Amino acid sequence: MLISESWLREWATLPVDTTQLSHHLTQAGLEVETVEPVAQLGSLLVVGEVVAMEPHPGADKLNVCTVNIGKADALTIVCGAPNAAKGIKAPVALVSAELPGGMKIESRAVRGVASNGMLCSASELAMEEQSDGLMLLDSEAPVGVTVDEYLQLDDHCIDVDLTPDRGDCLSIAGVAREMAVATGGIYAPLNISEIAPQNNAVRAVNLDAPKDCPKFVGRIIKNINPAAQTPDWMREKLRRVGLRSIDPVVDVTNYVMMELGQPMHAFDADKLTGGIRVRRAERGESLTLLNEQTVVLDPDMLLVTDQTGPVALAGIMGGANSAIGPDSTSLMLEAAHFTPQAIVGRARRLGLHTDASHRFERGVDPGLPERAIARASELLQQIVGGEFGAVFKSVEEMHLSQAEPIPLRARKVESLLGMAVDSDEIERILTGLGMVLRRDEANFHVTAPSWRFDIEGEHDLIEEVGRTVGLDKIAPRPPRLLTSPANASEQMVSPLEVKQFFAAANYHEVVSYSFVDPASEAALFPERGGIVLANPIAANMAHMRTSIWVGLLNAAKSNQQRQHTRLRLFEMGNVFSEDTSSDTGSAEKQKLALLLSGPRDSLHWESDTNPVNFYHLKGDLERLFAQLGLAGRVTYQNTDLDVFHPGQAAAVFLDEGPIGLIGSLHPQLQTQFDLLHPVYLAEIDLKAISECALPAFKEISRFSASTRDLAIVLDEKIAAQQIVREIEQIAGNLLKKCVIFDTYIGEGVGVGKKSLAVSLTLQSDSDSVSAQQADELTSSILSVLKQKYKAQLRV
Amino acid sequence: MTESDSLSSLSANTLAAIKQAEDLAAIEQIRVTALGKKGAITAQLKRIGSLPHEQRKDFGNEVNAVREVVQEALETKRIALELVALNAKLEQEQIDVTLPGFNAESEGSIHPITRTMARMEAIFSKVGFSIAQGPEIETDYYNFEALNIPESHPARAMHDTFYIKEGTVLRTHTSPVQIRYMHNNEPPIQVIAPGRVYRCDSDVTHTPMFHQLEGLAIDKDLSFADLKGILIYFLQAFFEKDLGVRFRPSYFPFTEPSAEVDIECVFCEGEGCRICKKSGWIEILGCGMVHPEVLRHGNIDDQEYSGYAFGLGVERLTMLRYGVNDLRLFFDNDIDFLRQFKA
Repeated sequence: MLISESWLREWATLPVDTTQLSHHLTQAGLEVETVEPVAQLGSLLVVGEVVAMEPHPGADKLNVCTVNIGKADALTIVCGAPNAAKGIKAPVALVSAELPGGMKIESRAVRGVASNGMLCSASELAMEEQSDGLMLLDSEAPVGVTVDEYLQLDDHCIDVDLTPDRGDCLSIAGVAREMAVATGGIYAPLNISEIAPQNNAVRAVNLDAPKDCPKFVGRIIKNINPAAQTPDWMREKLRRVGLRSIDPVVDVTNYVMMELGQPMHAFDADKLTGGIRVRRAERGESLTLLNEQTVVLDPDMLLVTDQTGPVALAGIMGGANSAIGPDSTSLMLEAAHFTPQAIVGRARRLGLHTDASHRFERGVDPGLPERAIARASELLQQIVGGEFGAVFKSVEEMHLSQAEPIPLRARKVESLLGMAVDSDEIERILTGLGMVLRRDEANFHVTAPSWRFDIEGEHDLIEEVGRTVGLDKIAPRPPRLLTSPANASEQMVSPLEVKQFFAAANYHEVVSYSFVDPASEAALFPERGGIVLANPIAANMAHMRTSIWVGLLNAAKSNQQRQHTRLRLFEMGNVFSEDTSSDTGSAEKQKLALLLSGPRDSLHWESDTNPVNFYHLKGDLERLFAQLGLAGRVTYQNTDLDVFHPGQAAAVFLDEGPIGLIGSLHPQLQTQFDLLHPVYLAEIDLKAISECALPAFKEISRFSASTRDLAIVLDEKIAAQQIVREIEQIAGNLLKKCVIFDTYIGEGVGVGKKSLAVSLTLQSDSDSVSAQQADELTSSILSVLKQKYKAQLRV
Repeated sequence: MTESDSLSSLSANTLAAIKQAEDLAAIEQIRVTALGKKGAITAQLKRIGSLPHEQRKDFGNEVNAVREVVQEALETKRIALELVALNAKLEQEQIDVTLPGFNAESEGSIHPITRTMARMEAIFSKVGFSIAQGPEIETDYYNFEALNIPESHPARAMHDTFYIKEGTVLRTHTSPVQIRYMHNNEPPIQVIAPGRVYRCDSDVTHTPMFHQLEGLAIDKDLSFADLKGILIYFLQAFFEKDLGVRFRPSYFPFTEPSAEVDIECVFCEGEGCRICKKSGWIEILGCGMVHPEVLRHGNIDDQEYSGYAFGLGVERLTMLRYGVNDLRLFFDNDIDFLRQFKA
């Protein structure tokens, strides 16, 4: 909200300068966004009066004006503005003046006529975005005085960002009250004089929805002057708080709203029929608003109606059918109390946001309507005149919320703020904020004023004390342990350690959105369902990922577009699936996903320029398992998911349980994602690798080891892992290591066969392994492999 | 020619040949010719026995002296020639020590968000905070209602919140973890909850997904002074700077009193610059004392216990710490960006 500093100071004596004021506002919780000085125009911009005007002899659209600027000699100024006329007053830029836009005024001839100055529009003075003529000043404006002085431009516009709980500060009066307490100044509310009724014109008011609208105050004013203009001082003040001048009646209601905080509405009384009724809308009812928008109303929306139907959407905007226009001569002013619950959300639902709805949603002082009517009457009488009717109102006292006293303990103030505040100071602060206090030694019973909608309990009162004393006054207390520190198990593997492992293996960690394109998700996992957002930000960001791969593939693609072809990416995060047994309807699992593609090595003078294959990704994963001491418990089995190349995919098992997948992306999907090189993907449950083996010491054998190499030929479909497991079983404790050191398919081993070469390291803890023992073991291994797998010794 | 004359000419010739020898083969050849089974000096030694008795001793001494001299000359020359050969070999084995070594590549990286979260966790765990987690798909109750965000609060409108269906949302903040943690733990409580959060908003300064770190402490005598202490400790540790910290009263439905916290601008040190919009301060987090209504939703006695809570934006801290100037870079996953954040 924009406030004018000088307007604020009319409402409170504040012993602080602009900078200090800004600081106090922020420290009170009214955050100052910007403080801008109002642009001053200098001594060469003065009020002038056009005392004579002749058409320019050499140009159709120009006039030659004689302008009085309060000096003996009037100026001759050539002017092309359409609203230039004899008798008007307007700002005059004298020779040598510089306008806010940088234009310098010089004495010069315009089509042969000497012009000594310039009559200015509001936009030329940077007071409006756009103008279509001269800035016309009041006929009473004193000729010759500077515009700075006349419009009191020595001011600052302060933009305050108000939190939604502080509706009471959406007015000059509200901010003035706050600042008086905060700065130790004096709040000086305006004296408003009552205008005695000149007739008895009233309207009956029925409050059919007393909970939504417990108070409605109105006044009829007849025979106003429809030709009246808003005075310069009011237009200028409205401009400073960001409001455009519309017409005198609307300007007055806006002015009162800005000053006191009460949104008002002025109806054309001649367009109203019969009494006023405030009620909820009926289903399907509609209303055309002041902005020409026709809205269909919901039953929870509140209306002001007359005998013929709706005339205003209560607290949001008036109706077009009862709007005042240039010819209106009778008004009905409305100042009502609409409760926040009756207004909140409705404007937004209709795509509207008005100054009125903004205030009513946050709470407007129910004590204000009478004052607002009186203030508006006073201003209207000055500007448009007219005959004032009696103030009429309808009030449902029962539904006007009565604040209950809240107990406040001084001890609690200290314990919650961590700072002692003297009871007298508490009393001064809360009284200054309009609270009524009953003191009981160090404790209080506090009743909040009608303009505060945010004071519900002791905490709220303590906040008032805290922010007024200043949170910066509270001395910080050094951190301390509240619980005995919990230490993680030595076996726990933190996600960060796993991330560091892959970063060291030259992978980049990426972070992709949890919602992905449903089409990509379906392309990878046609069989999976999943969770879809009701209101995605874009159609291709609607599906909660069931795997991290879509994100990795998108990252791969975008990096490839940026000429990165050697891709090693990983991400850790949740994937989502439906789970009706959970309160959220979903299950979330933490996964680690890897993507590998492109050249194996970065360019080096002895680098391998071949592309990566399945075994490179598998190796990186296996190294992690080995590092965690899990290698011996992990196995791989072929799998046939659509996402993978049918011959290069495996499910990963820890002991007997599946923990993940690894494979080559199906070539068709690789094409679909526009990826140049084969892509290898893996995904592992993070939980499966969250616990590593604890080292357990084993006696080191003092006896020498024997090695035996074994090359066998067998069916190529038999998995190497199976052969190794078989050898391990047969060899038992004697086998220290079993390494596949060669594998071969091709000429010499027969069609459909492969050769597998295995190196066995044999060692005992109690004795040397004799040559005979080693040979016996080798031959028994061979005989089992022959028998079970039709393996032959390769010769 | 006497016996002695011929012996000294044999010695002189052999020594001259050794001197002229150019390689180990030549040396071997000389050794065989002089000292081999059929060598000239060996032949002289063999002659000793056939000499008259009285000549034997003198001649024997002379021949043995010659043999020793020749042997020593041969050995000396052999060592010298071996050294020459070794040096020649070493000369050939010279390499360019300036060529890059093997496996020197350090291409991998840890995402800056992870990096910041890890630092945050480390700083908070040092003063006793442990880590709590909660789901990213949340119920309306945990995300809003239990946090005292009434039905009518603007944040609940479709505008900000991603909905799955009636009653379930993508969490809009990490605060629901507060309630879940209170439901499962007794005070004293001292936890942080880092994680992904979601808002239906996307422009230059907003991404629909981002990261927060929530803090919650509940005990019998916690005050705003404790909250200030913990946050000043954190901010100064995080930025490794004794920077100014400002607490401004603000409003959050789930805390009372509430405050927003500004730090002295880390770019201009409070002088005022483009980043801090000339104010010298940068807004960094929201915090406050846990609202009694929230404690009640967490089944905690609000008369006996009080607590504080805070929420930190991880992206914002990361941007300030490393000077990243565009939020969207975090989710573009451009390798040229990522590789700037080595582990």
